[in-house]
Amino acid sequence: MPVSVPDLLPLIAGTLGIPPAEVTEASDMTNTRKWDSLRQVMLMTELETSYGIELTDEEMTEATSVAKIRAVLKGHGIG
Amino acid sequence: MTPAILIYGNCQGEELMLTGRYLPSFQGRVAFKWIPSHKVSAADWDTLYGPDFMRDVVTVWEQVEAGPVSPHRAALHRLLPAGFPVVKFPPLSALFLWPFSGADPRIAADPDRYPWPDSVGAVLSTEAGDDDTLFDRYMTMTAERMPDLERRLRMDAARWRATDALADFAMGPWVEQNFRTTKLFHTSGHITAAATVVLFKNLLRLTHGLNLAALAQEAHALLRHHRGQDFECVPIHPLVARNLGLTWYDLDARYRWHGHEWTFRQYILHYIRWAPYLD
Repeated sequence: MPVSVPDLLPLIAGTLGIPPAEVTEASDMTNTRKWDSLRQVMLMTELETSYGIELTDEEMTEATSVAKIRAVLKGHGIG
Repeated sequence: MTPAILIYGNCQGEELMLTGRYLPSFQGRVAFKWIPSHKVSAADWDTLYGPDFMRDVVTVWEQVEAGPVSPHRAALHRLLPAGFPVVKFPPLSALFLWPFSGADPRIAADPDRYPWPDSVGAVLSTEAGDDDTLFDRYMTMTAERMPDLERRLRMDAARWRATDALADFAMGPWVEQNFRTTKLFHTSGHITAAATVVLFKNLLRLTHGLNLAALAQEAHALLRHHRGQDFECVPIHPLVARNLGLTWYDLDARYRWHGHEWTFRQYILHYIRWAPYLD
């Protein structure tokens, strides 16, 4: 079942294994604990499952921040 | 003073250190030290890893990572004089074998109980039911949500290529060639002895000046029945094993989880219920 876009931050936190308060709209791979290349792949596949979409390789590589993830989701008609 | 090899890396670095310390022929010939790249703090570089720590280090085995150079890696590099011997090795990880690795909000609050997330298990954690009902639900949901595993493998292989390119030797092709016939991972980030030995032998081969390459055969022989990083073994889903053609897979196998040995079903039920296991 797709999750709503407002649930994106908890979903990211849940995938990274960190408290929800640690993820904000300004979060990205460089300033967020545990957001490494392994978790990036895990996060992208979790987005695919949760939103029922298939991301391109390019989208998976580029979606390294909350803002960029929102932009990718918007490109898929979500949000 | 016994010369030391300093390993900079995650828990796989610790496994390499323990492997080196375990081998009899290395005793008194070379020592092994480890800086945990995933746990080191800024203060550690002043208090733990200063010049005294580095005094006996003659070679560094540095686990590379994708992305920009982290402050800790930069701190390591500042410790090393120009031209200091460094052998760079890639990290090993495999998400494709555990395709339901994803969001589980319970881990943030209790990170050590079941640190390897299963998003389907997380969804089911809010449902009531006896063991049979919950396990049936898990098997049904995972069958419905099973992704294209070959695509997941390609995604992992792309990550392996990226880190292999930064290292002095590649492991990705070896993993791709062997994962179907040999168990290489206990979790998405923990490796078996089979992978440890190959990693270790490659590092020995590229470490010059200590005459260690000749000891590679001993490492191979003595580690034949070693189990690697097996304190937490996350079972692979039977459908994943079938779809990927894992010939080593045993449907009835038991998997170590600290002091326990669980079947796939037992592990999944413990995970869904977030059940304590230390008492």
